Amino acid sequence: MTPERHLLQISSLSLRRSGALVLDDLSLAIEQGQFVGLIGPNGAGKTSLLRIIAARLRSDGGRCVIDGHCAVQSPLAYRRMLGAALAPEELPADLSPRQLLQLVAAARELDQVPEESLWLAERLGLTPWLDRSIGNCSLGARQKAGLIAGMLGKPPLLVFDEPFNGLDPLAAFEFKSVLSQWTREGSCAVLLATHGIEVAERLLDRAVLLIHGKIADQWTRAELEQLREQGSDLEAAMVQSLRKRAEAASSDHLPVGHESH
Amino acid sequence: MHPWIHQQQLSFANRWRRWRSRQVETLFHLLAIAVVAAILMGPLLDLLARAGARIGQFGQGQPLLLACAWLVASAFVCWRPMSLLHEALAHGRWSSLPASASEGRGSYRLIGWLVTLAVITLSCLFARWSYPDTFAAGVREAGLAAGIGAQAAVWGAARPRRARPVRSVRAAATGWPSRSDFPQAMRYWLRLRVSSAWRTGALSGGGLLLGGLLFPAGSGMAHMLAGFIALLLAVRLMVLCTSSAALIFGADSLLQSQPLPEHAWLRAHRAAVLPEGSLLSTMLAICSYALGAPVAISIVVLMVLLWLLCNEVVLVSRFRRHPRRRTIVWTALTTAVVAIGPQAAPLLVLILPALTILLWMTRLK
Repeated sequence: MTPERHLLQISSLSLRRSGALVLDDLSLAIEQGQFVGLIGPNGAGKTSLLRIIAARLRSDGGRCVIDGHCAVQSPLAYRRMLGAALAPEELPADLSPRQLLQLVAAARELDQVPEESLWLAERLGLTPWLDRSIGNCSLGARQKAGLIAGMLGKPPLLVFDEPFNGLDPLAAFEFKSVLSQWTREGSCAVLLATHGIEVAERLLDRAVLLIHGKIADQWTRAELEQLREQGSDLEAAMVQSLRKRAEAASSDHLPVGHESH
Repeated sequence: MHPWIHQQQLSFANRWRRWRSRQVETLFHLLAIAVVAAILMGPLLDLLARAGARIGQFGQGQPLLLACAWLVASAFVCWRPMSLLHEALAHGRWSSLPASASEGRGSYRLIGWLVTLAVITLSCLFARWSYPDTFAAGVREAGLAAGIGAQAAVWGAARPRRARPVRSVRAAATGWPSRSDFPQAMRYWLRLRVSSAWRTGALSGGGLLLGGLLFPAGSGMAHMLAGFIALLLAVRLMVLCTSSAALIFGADSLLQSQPLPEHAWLRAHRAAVLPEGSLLSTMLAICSYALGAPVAISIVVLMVLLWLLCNEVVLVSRFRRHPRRRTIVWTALTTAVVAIGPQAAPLLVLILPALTILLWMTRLK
């Protein structure tokens, strides 16, 4: 039997910042065409994990591999397989979204901005903003430009951190439709971190709950559907999981013999 | 207290804490500056004395013009930061925070009066210490004009503002390559940055002010023109280098996830800086010749400028993720060159290219 090959394979990832453990021996695997959502409270390590996967942050230990290419050993091949959205505040104010896309296309060794990206800009409603300078764009337009820049060239793995921030309902709907279409076709896998659980719930193949830099719980699509049939949802499951952990932590800190009283 | 003032206090405390954590680095920079200043003090004082003499000659011919320029420049020195402060207090994010308009106006007026008093007191004290009468009178006038500038900013802020027409929001598209090519795109992006820095005038304004002191007035129209052009070229070269470094540092964090090989950054920075930089350096060398320098000196000027450009390209590419390390290496190199230069000027012809090749080699490893 040949071992199953994952598109993204993260093993024993750890990260420390100012003495605190942000990611603790974290392992995660994503297959081609999978739509995975990272959920969890603030400070759980979602953004740090995404930044490490997007090669923007170095981990203190562990490995990140996309389709057999390690982020450290073969950084160029790794980055070719990856598309990471840019946050609105990272975008250069003096360029226009079109120039930004051209720059990213040049960095990805493409002759010009792919038609698909312009089509995506049209679908998300970015076309009227394409030739304005980013400094004069609205938050939503900047968010769209960052998302499209990340999706440019349709790389096999797409990584998003809070992609729905600032998007109007229509653009959010179109964005979700495109992502589900691409994952259904199997042309790429998506990993996104979000607090909009109700938004993500309908799209996800898998939801991963991250607490204190560790995977605390996971739900597959079948389990999510089962939750829905039982009249519950991902939010309730997540809250339940968080409460369980909080209770376990508080009982760990109780003085010896406390339970007997 | 206005939240802006509170924010400044916090920001100062943070800066102080950061400075304390970088004491060794800061001490190294201070030491290097002291060494460079000590070596260059003689030639600099000589240059200032000559510039002073030329301005004196010019002033004898055009006393009113010189006095007006001096007063306007001194008033501008205080008026500009005060206007910016007013913008920060009145139109910043404080407008949506619990800081009333009257509180903003009161804080601004108070700061305006304090600045006026401080400027006039300092200029009076300085004028008493300074020896030559004309210089003391100039300092007193400058202080008075700066105080008037600060007060003008306060009075100007109290007047109702006229609505300004909205500027064009379209990004400049001229020259942006139609086909994607990374070095070309970076080159045009740099061109946008440089023209924007040039337009904002922070550097060009300072450079022109310096020009007022340095250009060789009274030595013929051709000389004056050559001096002025040399000054503009030097400012442009400075803007080019600072903007390109800022651009590479910003672009690196923007494109960290993109499959860009190391040499692409070097090529991009080279394409962005070297053509215009070499042209400016050559023109500066020609200007130095036009100003009366011997051919040999002009060639040395050209070589040193080209060496500085090559170093800038190599250092920025090499340390694009560690801008502080780049500053430390720059400081060390500059100090070494200034220290060695006067003793072994002919050797610099060999030392400078060797240093660049060494840096290049370490870059390739």
